[in-house]
Amino acid sequence: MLSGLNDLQSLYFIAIINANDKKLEAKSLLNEIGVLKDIERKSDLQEIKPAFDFYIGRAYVYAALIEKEAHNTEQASQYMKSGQTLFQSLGWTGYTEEALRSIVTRELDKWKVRPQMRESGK
Amino acid sequence: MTRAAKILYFGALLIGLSTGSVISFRSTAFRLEALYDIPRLTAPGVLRDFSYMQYKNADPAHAEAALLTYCNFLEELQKMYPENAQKGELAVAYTRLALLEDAANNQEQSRTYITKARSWYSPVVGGRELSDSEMKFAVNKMDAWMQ
Repeated sequence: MLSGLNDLQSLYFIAIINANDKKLEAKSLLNEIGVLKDIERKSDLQEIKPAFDFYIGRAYVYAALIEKEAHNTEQASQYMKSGQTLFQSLGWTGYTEEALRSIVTRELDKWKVRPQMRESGK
Repeated sequence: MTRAAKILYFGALLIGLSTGSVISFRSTAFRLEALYDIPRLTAPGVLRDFSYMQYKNADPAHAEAALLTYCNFLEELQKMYPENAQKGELAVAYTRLALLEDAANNQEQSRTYITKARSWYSPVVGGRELSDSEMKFAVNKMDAWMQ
């Protein structure tokens, strides 16, 4: 269970890294989703399956934001729908595109490196 | 080279190699131990964030399930690695469960959860007791601040 949770943590770090580098595309995020889906299928992790669904769902919403920014609307809509399906299964009362975008953006904004922080680090 | 010199050099070589091996083993073991500890330190954070997001956004049944998963995990971890920080986390999670039951008007279940919250919180602050409403007020304030 500990290692399963640690895999989730690695997805979180990837999201943080992507939040600071626009060059990193949704592709790396989607690769990680694939890996996590494989791990999630392990029977001994059923207890924390909802946690996996939450982090995978969040990654889908984030991938949708990246694709939308790149004007790939069809792909963005597909990812957003995958995210919405997962959040609906998690019992979320507000899983509209707008609500999910707002929550994920707020989450990721916490991790964005601000310009003054970069300058002070020089 | 004389026989005595050969023995001396061979002895020095053996001492050097064995000392190096011991130092290297100890240093590697320390690093491996630190690596082994990483999941234990980071894993609770993953479930904490998940249970909080479920508490704020999901229906009561899903929110309760997520908080209970987090509590069970922390209680198991607490048996192996007792830490005050985990006790504080348990107190907060059980208080959130009590607040959920309050919203559903299940007073008895709410009291059960807040009693558990107090049992985890009390040892952290040296036995000081907080009332039910003080616990709930503090957690609500903290959640409002986090948003």
